[in-house]
Amino acid sequence: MTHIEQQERISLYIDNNLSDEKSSELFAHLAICNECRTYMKISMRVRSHIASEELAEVPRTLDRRVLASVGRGRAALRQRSWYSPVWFTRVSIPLPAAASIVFLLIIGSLLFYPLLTPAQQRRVEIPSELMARVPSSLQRAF
Amino acid sequence: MDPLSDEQLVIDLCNGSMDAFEELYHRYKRHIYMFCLKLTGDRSLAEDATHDTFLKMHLNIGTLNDITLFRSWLFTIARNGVFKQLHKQQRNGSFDEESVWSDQTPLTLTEQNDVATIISLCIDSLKPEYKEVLLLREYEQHSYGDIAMITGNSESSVKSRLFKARKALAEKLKPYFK
Repeated sequence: MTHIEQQERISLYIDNNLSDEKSSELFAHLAICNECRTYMKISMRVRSHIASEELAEVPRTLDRRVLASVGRGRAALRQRSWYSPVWFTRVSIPLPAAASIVFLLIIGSLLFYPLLTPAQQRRVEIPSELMARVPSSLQRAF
Repeated sequence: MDPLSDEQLVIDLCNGSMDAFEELYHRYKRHIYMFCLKLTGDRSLAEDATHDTFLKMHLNIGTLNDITLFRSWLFTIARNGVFKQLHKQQRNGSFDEESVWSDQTPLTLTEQNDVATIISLCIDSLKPEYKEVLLLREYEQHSYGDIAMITGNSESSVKSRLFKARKALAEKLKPYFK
């Protein structure tokens, strides 16, 4: 096994991702290899250096910025919530659209009715031979 | 009284609790800020990235399908925000897998005697793609699987980058350990 492969194992060992069996093999190698021992020593030192480092303090301005931004977002949502989303999705577009169509139909029928001929305006009469085939109990409905 | 778990706070936040948001923010702000600061090396950029991370967390918490993954999800938002900024800054945004260092010889390195300072400078000199896996592993103790999820890479790629970062650091630091 090459030094590089052993050092890959050291990296896994440091991360607790090496099996017991492979760990034993690794330590047998470390006992006789100065290069890999140095690699392990430095890697462990880097790890303990990082672990000992304090987390940086967050600037107070950041606290204010974040909480204000989120608060503004919530206020905007609250302001909209009394008519949203029902207003936007169910009412604001479909209702005016339906009202416009009905209005146009009424205006259209009022405008075009006088243009119809008297014959067209006259109520369509059901021919008598057809009427005779309708049961007498229903004839009054026509 | 025991502090509420992340999972409980996430549920409360989904139900619109501002207290839950504040608790999660105070719980994670230093971790996210430190991660962004280490990746960018710039306080102002780190502050903006942290701000955006928590804002996105608040806006998109409803899209988090598995609340047990909250911590990794939060780091994913932070990581993606930082890399977006870094790619904007880079004229040549291509990722050279061969090179581990963003700065081959930090000038200040040779002027230092303190090993701790030298280690910090060496970590800072790593390319962001290598630095992020090292930070997530060493600072935050994320598992390989979590790091793979956060960075959008495979676990084998995470292992490989971690090894390359450690190997490069060891090579650079070798003269100081003799």
